Amino acid sequence: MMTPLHTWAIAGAIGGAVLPLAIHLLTRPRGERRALPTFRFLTDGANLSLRRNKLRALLVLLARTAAIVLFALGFARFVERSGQPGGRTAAPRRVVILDCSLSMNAGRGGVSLFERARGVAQQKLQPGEISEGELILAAKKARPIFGKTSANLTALRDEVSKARVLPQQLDASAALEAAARTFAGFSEEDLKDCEVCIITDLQRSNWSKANFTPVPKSVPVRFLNVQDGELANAAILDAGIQGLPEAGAPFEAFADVANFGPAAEMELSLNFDGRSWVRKLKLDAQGSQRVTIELTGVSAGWRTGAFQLSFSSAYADALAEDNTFPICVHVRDVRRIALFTRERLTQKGGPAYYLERGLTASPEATVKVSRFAPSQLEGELDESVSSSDILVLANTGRLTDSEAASLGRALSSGQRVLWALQENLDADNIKALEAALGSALRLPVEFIPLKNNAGGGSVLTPIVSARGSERDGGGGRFLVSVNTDRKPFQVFGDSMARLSQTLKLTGGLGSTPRSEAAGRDDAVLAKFSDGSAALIVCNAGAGRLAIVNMPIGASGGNGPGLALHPIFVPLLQEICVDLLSADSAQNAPRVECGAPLNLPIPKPHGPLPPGKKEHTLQLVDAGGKVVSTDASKTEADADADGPRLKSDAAGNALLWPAAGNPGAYLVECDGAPVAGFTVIAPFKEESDLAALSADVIATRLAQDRTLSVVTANPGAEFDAGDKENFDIYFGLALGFLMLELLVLKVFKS
Amino acid sequence: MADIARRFAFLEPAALQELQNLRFAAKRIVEGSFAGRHRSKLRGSSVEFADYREYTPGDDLRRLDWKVLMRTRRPYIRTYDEETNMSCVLILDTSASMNFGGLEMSGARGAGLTKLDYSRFLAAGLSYLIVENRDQAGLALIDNGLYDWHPPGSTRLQLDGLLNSLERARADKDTKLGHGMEALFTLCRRRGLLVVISDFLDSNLDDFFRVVRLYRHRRFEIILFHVVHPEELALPMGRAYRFFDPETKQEIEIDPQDVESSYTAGVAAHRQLVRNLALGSGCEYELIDTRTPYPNAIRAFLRARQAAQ
Repeated sequence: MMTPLHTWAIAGAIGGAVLPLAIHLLTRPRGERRALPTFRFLTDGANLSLRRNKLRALLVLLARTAAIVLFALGFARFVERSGQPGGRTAAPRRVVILDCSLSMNAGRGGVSLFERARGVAQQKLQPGEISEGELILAAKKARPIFGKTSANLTALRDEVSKARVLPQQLDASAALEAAARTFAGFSEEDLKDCEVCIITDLQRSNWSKANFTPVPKSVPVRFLNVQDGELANAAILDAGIQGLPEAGAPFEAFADVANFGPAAEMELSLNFDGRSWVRKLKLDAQGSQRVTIELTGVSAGWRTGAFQLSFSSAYADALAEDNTFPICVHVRDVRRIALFTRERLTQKGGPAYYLERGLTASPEATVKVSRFAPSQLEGELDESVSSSDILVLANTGRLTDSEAASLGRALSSGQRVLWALQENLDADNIKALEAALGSALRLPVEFIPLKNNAGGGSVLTPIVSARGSERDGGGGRFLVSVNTDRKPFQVFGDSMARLSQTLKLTGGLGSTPRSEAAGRDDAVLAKFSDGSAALIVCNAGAGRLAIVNMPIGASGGNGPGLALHPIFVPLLQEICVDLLSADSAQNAPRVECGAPLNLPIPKPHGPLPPGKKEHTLQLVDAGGKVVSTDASKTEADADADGPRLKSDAAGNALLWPAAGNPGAYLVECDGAPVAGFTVIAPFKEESDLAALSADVIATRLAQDRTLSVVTANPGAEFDAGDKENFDIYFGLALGFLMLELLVLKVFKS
Repeated sequence: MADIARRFAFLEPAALQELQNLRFAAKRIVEGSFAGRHRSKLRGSSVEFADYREYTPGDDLRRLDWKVLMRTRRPYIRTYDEETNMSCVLILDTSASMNFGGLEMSGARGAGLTKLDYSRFLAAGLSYLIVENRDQAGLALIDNGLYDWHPPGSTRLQLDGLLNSLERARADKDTKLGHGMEALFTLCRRRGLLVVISDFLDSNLDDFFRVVRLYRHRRFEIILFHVVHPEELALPMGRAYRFFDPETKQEIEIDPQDVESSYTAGVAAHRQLVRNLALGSGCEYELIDTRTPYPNAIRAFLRARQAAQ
């Protein structure tokens, strides 16, 4: 980088100023002195000629003067800029933030934005240009090289050359905070010599919410924009599985495709489990579309695949990374359900009886229901319980605090629970569960026992409302408010209204809405005619909880229960599907690149492989390449951000402080997949390459601090802003020199 | 002849050889001092009868033609033409404008001369011719006035004096031909032939021709030799020159191409003006280019003159 005081700059400026003078001197007519007795005959014609000569001289003088002034002005402007905040100083301390987010991999003509940014960063850390510098590689995390400004610019330039784009979103605020930390301890006087240079593509999604507050106001911030034009890009923003992936049952893979460029035709292919599907798309400019592909005949186990987007050659897709989206699915062979109830196996007609039969009545999946006594919730859950897909509770009697806490832990760790409230004391059980989960479970209603409910006694005082005849449960209740837009009622559609009219239930619990539950009413999917919640489906910790407040059995003289209604089995199956399919993360967790991952791995069971003393865990990617094994690395020698398989008495887990490249990964135990997950890039944020306008930065973001935006060009000797000025002034000066030549040509001198 | 030619720079033997058989005669009646080949203005007792006129008291009765008296009863006097020698004054313009000529000019003799040198050759040749024909030759050098004057004479000594004056002639002042001619007017008592050799680059030509008309009124025969140099007929080739006026010392830096046409037109108009004024004043006008060798110019002029007579 050349400074204004650089020898060559001075020589260039002098040369630029002297050039017109030299031309003037060289082209000036040198008249030979000659006597002419007929001198008087010259004067008549000479008057005109002299006028022309004067005009020519005037024009030439003006052109040369303008050229010189423009040269001088351009140079002066350059020097002036360097004196301004945001301009260069002779030897400032400079913190360079290099945007390493995914969008920087976009490019045109084979040159990525990041390569341009690398060149600019090298210039900005040029020895001689600054006295001290610091480099912050910014993506999801901001990674300062030294943590403070250093004169070792060579090392910083080395880091720039080694830097690479990470498949992560830029956390602009984190980068600015890191820059601000660099200036910690600086006096106001020191800060005057400091500046922050941000080399970025100014992606709107990254910078629109950037917080500049941590950066001292006296430190100018310069944006060097490496994106000099609009880039077309199409991307798969999201992809995954819809429905419940179970062996033999059809389910869907979906991909959300968006086009951030001109209208284009493209092809979306899915490679999954060794098979391929292809769909042709035509997306308008700025259009998006969800594409679903039905997958059938997928065998049980961990399955990986990826969506791939391809284009015709006419479409200049700027970012290739977002054209691929991995998926990872665990296809269940058997739906395992643990039913906790006091009812004996021989007892027929009770809620558990009907539930067990209703749950196993799936037309597609193989369902295995195992009964457990409620006491088995006590303490550590049995392996057979914890490996169940759904825990179903009905007629459990009063749960102890320990049992409620155990159930809460299961929910927190991602377990799905279906709770059929059949007794008044279930209101207490629900309260105990809420107490165990704390803020992780916030039900929109509070369940209360009904006055004449035949179930077990309750410590709660029944509430007698204006509609006491209904509230006491004696008159029966109807479903009056059913959300058919969502599962599980979605499948019933318009027929739900007719079905609900025939569904008169006697029993169950009453409920009153909680005042602090405003905004969570959408968890109540059905209500009774007395306003009590009939069905609630909500998240509880990492798990999901469905509360069915309907009497299922016909026992106790409370009249016919839900089990006798034709809606029972379909509703029960839909609730199960909803609980299971809503939890695709549980099925195969997704983690964003750079984010930490702590993946519990089921304890291996079964015989040890021949010749092995213990089970072997390893992490492999979708191509089968081993990424990490539990034996290959210890905690000491492992990469700080690399994956680590942990196996101890507490259980097995995969720890990955900063998830790596996007893709589907499988954890294998003795060569057999036991867990899977996908690492995804933040395509939703990084695929739209639209840049924030300089005006927005200068007005809205800058507020009362100095923010400037220039287009950076690593090939230029100066900054783009300076170059623009130089281009304008130099171009105009050159134009005036051309005008001078034209004048000389026209006047034939 | 060879002897004199060797002594004076402006009298070349070769040129004298060419002028040997030429005769410079006055077209009109002249008023000479001595008897000669030229007709005198005076009517006298010469041998050649001229006319009759009525007798007036005081006339010489010897010239009374008695036969005519008897036949007509009226007295008439016989008149005769007197033949006398020609008195010729050479008036040489020696203003600074005459000191112009390019040494680079080559080829024909005289082309490399300044207008003044050429004029001096011309004047010397004519002087020699006049004296050789036993006529009287005088010389007046003028610039912005008359500064050297030799009354007409026909001796060799006179010729020596003229040639000496020609050699001493300087050209460093401005042109005021009228002033010089006016000064000469009082000195030329006898009518005769005036030969003015000049480039006529006078800012006040009207004044000059006013004086010329005075001479003409006194029945002087006047010949104007308009000497031009080829370098002043057209501007030199080239991009830029700084021209200066040798008389006024004015300077101008100009591209000759810019003023070529107007200059050429101006020069031509000036020549035409001088010619018109000369002829209009009853003068004989001869344009002489310095590229023309002066003996040739003299010979051509004299032959044309003789043919006209």
